[in-house]
Amino acid sequence: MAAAQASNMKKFKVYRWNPENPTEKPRMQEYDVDVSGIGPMVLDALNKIKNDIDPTLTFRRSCREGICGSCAMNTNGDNGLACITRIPDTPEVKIYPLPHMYVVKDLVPDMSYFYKQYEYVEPWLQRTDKDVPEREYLQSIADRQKLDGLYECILCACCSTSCPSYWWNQDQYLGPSILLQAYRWMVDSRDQNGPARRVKFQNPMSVYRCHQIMNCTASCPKGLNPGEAVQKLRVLMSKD
Amino acid sequence: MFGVTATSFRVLGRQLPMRATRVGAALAVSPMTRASGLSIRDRVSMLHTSIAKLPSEKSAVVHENLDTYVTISLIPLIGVSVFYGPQPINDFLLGIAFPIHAYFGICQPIGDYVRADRYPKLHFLFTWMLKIGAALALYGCYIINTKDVGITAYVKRLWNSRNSANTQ
Repeated sequence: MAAAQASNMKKFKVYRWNPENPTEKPRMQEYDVDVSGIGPMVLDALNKIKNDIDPTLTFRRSCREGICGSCAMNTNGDNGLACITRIPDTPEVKIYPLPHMYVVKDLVPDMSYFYKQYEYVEPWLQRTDKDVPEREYLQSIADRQKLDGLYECILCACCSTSCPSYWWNQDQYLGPSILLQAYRWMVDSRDQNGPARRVKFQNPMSVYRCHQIMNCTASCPKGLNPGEAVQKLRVLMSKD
Repeated sequence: MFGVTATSFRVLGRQLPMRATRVGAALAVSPMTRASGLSIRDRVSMLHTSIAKLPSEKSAVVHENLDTYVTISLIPLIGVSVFYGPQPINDFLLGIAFPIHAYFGICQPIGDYVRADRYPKLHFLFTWMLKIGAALALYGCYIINTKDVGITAYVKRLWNSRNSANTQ
């Protein structure tokens, strides 16, 4: 016979803004949530708020297991995926959308420019020779290992939106997430268009705004290392 | 209400130097504050600006590589200064490498915070202050190395000045 769970009330302060009233400034709304009866993650708390307290709270979510990247947001100052971020022990939990992004509503950032930047680096295999093999393009095990730590990126934008250089120069600096993906294609042994890919980056802004702040690596919810990838990309560029 | 109007005027003022990049103009100010008459779909699609396609300039890579080489060259130069004390050739090379390293170092925050396409006048001002400052630093290091005791000895004196008899 389980004893009744002791209630554990936490204050959730959540960023709210409604585009239906655009002249109203964004505000922080407080919710008192009993976290003892729900799952341990921030997404569980947000769902409880939406179900029981305030159905107008708006946020993105999908897989609830840290693989889709939809629920990327800022909890107590750290970017991460709400579905795999444990509710912090602090009595107050502050939840903000990803920093320095335009807000569509409440915790939903506008990701369209981020996706355009991804398109810009041409994230597909590019071959210069025209003959196509019968089956796959073959790759040695050692070459495949070079992609480990690069292919797992889910494009959640936690890293890019934690980068101060991306905050100040979002329109021209591509950001750690996109640069990691650009590097992923350059270092893929099956890709033959490395030098042509790098020509696009030969300007002071696209890559060279990175000052090795390393907020990106600290915030990646998948444990990847975008900071290292950007430096490796710089090495490749310096050799061209 | 007044706050919104004040923001709009500042917005218009800011837009003038930013016509150089359409992207810069669109992104620097949230269009949402001016869009109360539009539908939600129209407001969201206002944010779909096109990506900045920057011209490819090899000079940026050369600049970056030079920065790297100068920085690496400083390691043995400072090492010799620290472990072997004042040495004429080392001091001479240090007097060249250090101001150049400082020049490259300050180029970065100028590109970060006073970009040419957003703040053309400030960019011009700071870039030339930097170039003149770096030239003066090169000249100053040359003077210290030739007319005075040399950079390493100079720094040593400054470092230990509290212990020397000359200070008050």
